Amino acid sequence: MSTRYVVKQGDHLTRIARAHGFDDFRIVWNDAENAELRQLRGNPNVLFPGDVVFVPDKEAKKESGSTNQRHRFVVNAQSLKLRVRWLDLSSKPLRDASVILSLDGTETRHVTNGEGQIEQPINQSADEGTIQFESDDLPFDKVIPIEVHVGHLDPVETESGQRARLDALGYDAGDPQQAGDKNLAFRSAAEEFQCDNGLTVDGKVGPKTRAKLKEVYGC
Amino acid sequence: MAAEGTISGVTDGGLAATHAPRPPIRLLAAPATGPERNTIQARVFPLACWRVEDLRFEFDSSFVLPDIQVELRLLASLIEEHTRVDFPDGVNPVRFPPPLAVFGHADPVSNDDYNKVLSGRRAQAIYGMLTRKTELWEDLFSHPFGGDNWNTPQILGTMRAKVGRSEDTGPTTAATRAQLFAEYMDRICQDFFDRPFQVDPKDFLGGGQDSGGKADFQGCGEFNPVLMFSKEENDRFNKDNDKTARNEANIPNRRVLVFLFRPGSKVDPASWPCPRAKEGVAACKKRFWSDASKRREFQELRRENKETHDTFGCRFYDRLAGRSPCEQGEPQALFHFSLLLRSNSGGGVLSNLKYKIFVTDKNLIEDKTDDEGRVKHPISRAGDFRMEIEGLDGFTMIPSTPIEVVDRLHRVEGFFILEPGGPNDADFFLPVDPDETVEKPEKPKPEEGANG
Repeated sequence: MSTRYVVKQGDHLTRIARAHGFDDFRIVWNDAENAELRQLRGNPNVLFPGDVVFVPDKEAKKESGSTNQRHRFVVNAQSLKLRVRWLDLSSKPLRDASVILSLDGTETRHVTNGEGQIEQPINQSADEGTIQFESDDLPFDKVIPIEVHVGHLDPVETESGQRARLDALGYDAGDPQQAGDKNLAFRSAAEEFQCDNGLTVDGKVGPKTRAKLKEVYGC
Repeated sequence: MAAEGTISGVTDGGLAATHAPRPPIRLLAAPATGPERNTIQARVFPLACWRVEDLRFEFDSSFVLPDIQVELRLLASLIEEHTRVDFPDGVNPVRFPPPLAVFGHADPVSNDDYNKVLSGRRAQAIYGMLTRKTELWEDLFSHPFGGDNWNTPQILGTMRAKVGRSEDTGPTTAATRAQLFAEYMDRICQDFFDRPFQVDPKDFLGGGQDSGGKADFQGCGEFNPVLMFSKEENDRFNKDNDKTARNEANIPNRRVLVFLFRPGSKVDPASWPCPRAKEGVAACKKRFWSDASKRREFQELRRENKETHDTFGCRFYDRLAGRSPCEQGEPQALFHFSLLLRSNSGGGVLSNLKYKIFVTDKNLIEDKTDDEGRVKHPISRAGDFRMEIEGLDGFTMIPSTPIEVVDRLHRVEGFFILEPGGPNDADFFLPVDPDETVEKPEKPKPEEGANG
């Protein structure tokens, strides 16, 4: 039976689809009922709490084949990945840095590539983790790991989504819980981002700033 | 909001402090089924700060006065404290000092261009001294600017006296000046063990790569005052023929800061937003807040950075330093100390006695000892303290007890020791004459009163 699923913080479409028995999230995402959501969010992995996803009926798929023969059925599951890229103090890719990614208790070792990036296939349930650098002579702290919360990035149209991207880009958009400080720190971060990217500096995150923020951050 | 960080030393001429640690990076990541990625960008953030006040410079000049020695000791300790020591081969230590960046500031009087030059010259003087680049002092000496002229008998005399060359009175040459500057720098730029200390140019944020010192030292001009007068105050100062009052009120704005960054931090000078100390204000203005003109106006109310956070015109500097303990004006509290006042004649506590604590002639605190005879107060700076206690007139040590806080040791002679991080309580016996009785107000005790 089809349902309408209300997105919670941390959800992404692959997780929602698999929880409802769909290995391929695209069957859900591309359903006509989700046209508006597709239009609004663009990226199936960057949803906002409260968004409603239409989950269609599961249709049994029939395949014909002769008996006494082996058949391979390839499940068209889209593999889910976590990609993180680092830029150094001069905004150049941080290459050849060794990092340890620890996700839900499983550790994997990586070396950043020419783009300063690592890539790790992840399970749809992957949630909390850390990333730790293995060397001291980097512009990031070796001792204090980076906290990772998979699926928690909000859309760039939302303030929380803008804040998350500005924070990751080192602009320090302030503590949203802290009244008074909130607007000043956020405006400071937004203006500094605009200044660094040749945009009109007004501290307002309009369409141009959002597009640039998405581009620089990577999604 | 209070300063975020820990103050490690306060003197009349400056302040040294460690910033609050930054929270860990928290990446709210999106997983990807397409080409999407998440990006983390490194930034420089100061670990610690050091401020030297206007008082340590010749008036309206970039010449560094010898008393800065006291503050430079604090800087030496701060650098030491934030130096990372590794043993890559397990045996031999390798030191990674925190890179430094110097920022000079002028007060919002006169014009932008003049103040940019003057603040840049003060930054250059500090940088030149720390690196022992005497040629940077020679540059200041041989190129006077407005009132900033080092070639005076007074300044030469100050340097000569400090290095024990008072007998030299004649004119100087470039060669004798280089010698004099070097000796003077060594004499004032010393650590707590009285050893001259200096900083390698490569241990500055720009790594000494730029010949004009880009990212190593800069002047912010009058763009980042910590205090903006109210419009009314400013109008009043403008009417005065004698500008002494305005100059005094502006003292907190005339300062030089040194920030200490994480060991290993290096920036490409080309990508550093601040212009060189000798460049104009154009690059500064590019980094202005969108509402900088309003920030730089004298508004209806007097504003201080520590309270309103809207006095800096430069957004880049505001982000770097706005919350620094060195940019909050007078520090809130250096010592939380308490004294127990007891009479040694009868051993009783001296409760509910009025007292005053003075710093120089300024009344700092006026309060009463509590029921247990305790005095509890935060004290924000080292210096000479005087304490007066009422109701004890006539006793030998009373009414004024000089409390001398000596430099970094914060040792109060004979009575108690104040040290940052140490125990802040001390028993303070008043050596009163045993034959005298102490008159003090009796505190009625309800339970006794009920029975009587």
